[in-house]
Amino acid sequence: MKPIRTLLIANRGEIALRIIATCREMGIRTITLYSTHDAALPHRAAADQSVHLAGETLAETYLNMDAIIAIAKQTGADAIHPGYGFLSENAAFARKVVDAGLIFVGPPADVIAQMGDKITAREAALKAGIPLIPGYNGEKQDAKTLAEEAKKIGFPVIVKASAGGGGKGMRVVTHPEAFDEALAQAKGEAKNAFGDDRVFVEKYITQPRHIEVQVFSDCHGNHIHCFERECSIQRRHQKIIEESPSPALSPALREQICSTALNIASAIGYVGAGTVEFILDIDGAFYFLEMNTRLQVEHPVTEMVTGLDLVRMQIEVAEGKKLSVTQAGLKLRGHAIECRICAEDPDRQFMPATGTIEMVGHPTLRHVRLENGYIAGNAITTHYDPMLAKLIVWGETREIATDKLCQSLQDVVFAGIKTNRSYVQRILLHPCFISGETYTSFVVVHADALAVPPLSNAAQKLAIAAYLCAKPRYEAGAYHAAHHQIESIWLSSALAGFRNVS
Amino acid sequence: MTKELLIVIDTQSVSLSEIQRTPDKISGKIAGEPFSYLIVSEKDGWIVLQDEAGQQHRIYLSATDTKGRRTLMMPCHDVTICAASNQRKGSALASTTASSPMPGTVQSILVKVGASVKAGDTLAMMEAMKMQIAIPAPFDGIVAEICVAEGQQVPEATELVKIEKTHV
Repeated sequence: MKPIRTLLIANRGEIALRIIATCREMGIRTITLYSTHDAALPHRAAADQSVHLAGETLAETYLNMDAIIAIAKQTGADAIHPGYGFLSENAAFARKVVDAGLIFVGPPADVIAQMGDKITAREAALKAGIPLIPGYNGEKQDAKTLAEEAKKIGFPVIVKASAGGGGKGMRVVTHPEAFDEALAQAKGEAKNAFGDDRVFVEKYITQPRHIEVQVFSDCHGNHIHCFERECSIQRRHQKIIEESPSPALSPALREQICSTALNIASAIGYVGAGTVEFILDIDGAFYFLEMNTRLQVEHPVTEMVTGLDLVRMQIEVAEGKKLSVTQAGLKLRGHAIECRICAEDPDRQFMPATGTIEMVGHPTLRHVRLENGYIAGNAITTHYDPMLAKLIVWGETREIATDKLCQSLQDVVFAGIKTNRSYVQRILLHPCFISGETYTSFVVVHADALAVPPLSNAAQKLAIAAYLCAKPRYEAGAYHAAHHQIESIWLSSALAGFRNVS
Repeated sequence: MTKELLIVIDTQSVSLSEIQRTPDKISGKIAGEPFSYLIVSEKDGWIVLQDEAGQQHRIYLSATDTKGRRTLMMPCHDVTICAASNQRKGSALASTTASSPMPGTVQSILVKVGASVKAGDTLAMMEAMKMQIAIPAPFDGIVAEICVAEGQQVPEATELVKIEKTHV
C-alpha cells in the first residue's frame, strides 16, 4: 500500500478536469500539463500546479514520455494518470513510469502490451473460452474447401480479400447456392486490385451492435463488472452516443455477456479499469472485439447508472487497496445516455470546425453532467481532437433520459463554433433511436433522415423574429461582445438607444 | 432600425417589411406574411419570445462570425442568418480555385499542372484535427497552377489549386 498524495495528469481538456474533480474530493494534489496552444484552457488553471510543455508537436508535448516523467519527479508526484488517448495504452510509458519509482494509474505494462496487440489479445480471448467472430483464414484456397468452411461458419458469410481494403474483393453471401459465384467474383476483384487473389471467409453480422462491458480489478485478485454500455451510434468508428443499459439486452443476456467479460479480466490477471468490447448479433450471439486497458471516454454513463466514481476506484486500486464494492452490491439503476459534442460541421461532410468559443451554456435539468474542457474565449484549433465536451444525462427510463439529453442540447449550445449539437438532436428524435433499433450502421442507413431538415414556416418566423429582436442592440455595438463584460453592458448607456427603437 | 430588410436565412433569401421593434414586441412581414412575438427576455444572447398562441421559445443567438453571419441554436437546427449585404464576397474566386475548407496542413498534392480533372476528383489531401480531408475539383477543367507546397500550413480559404474551366 502506497498512498497517492500528488497525482500528475498526463492529458488535457475534459478528462484532465474530470480527474482533478475526484482528486479534490480525495484531498490529492494535482499537477497538469499544458502545451503552448492550451495555455488558456481550464485544465491548466484548475490544477494545484500546472507545468508548460514546450514544443509544437504532440511528440514534443503530451506524448513526450521522458519530459512528463521528469516533471512528475520535479513536482513531487507519486503517480501519473494517463487519462484516455495519448499515452494511456502505451506499455513502454507504463514501464518507464514504474521504473522511475512512480505509480502508473492503469494496468501493468505487460497486460497493456498483451491486449494492445490484436493477435495476442485474440489468443488470450480464445484461451479464456471467449467467442471470436467465426472465420476461416487458412492456406487452402480452392472453392470446395472455402465453400465447406462457409457452411461450417453458417450463412450469411462475408468473403474478404486477404490483401484487401476499401471494399474491393468483398462479397456478402446469404445462401450456400450463391457462394461459388460470389467467391469467383471476389477472387477476380482481389486479383485485379491487389495482384493477390487469396481471400478469407468470416461470419457476416447483419445488424451488429457495439456492446462493451466495464470491468474493474484490484491487485488482490478481485474482479467485478459494472454492467454494459451500448455505443452503436458511431460515425467512421467514432462513437457519438453511448448509453447504459443497452436496449438490446435481456437480463439473461446481460448476465451472460458481463460474466464473459469478467472471465477475460480474471484470465489475464487484469488490474484497474478496463473495457471489454463485443459485437452483438441480432440473434443474441456476441463476439469479442478487443479490450481497452484504460478509462473510457464514455465512463460517466456507467457512473450515472451505478453511482460509482470510476476515477476514485482507479486511484484506490493503484494505491494497492482492495475494491470497496462487491459484485452483489452493484445495482444498475435507471438509464444514462451520453453524447459527444464535437467541433465539426455535419452539414459539410463533418469537416472539422475551428474558431473561438463564444458561449458554452450550462445544464439546467436535474441529473445532467457536462464534462467540458473549454471555456468561452478558448480557440479551437486543428491541433487536437475535435471533441469539445460530453453531455451525460440520467433518467428513470430510457425515454426520459433521451428527452432530457435532447432538451439539454438547447442549454449547452457551444456558440461561436460549428458543432454536431443539432445533428445529435436529430439522432435522438429519430424513431429508430427511440425504439432502440440502434445498429452500428445507424448514421449511414438513416443519413437522409438525419440531414438538416428544411426550416418549417413557424421555425423560420421565430428565427427571424429572434434575429430582429437583438438587432438594435447589436448595431449599437453592445451585443455580448465580451462575455465577461455582460453585466456591465446591461448597465451601459448603449442600452439607452435600444429603448428608442421604432 | 430600417423597416425593410433583405436577409439570407441558411441559404434562402427572404425579404422583410413593416418591421416594428418596441421594447417588448417584435413584428413585421416575411415575404408579405405577418408575424408578431412578445419579447419576454433578452439577456447574454439568450432570447425568450412568446408566440401568438402563448408559447414561449428560448433560443441562443450567437454574435456575428467573421463572415457577418449569426447563428440561432434552434432545436435540431443551427440556423444562420445575415443581412443580404453581408453575404460573402469572393464567390467568383471560389469558382476558379479549390481552396482549403479550414486551417490545416497540406499533406499531398495529387495533380500536376496541365492535368485534366473531372468535378469531384481529389486534387489534394489536407490534414486537420487528426482527420484527412480530400480537396475535390469544383468542376471539370485543367490544372492551371499549384499554389501551395506539400507540408505547408495554410489558413482557411487559402487557394490550393487553380483550375481553368474546359467548357462553360
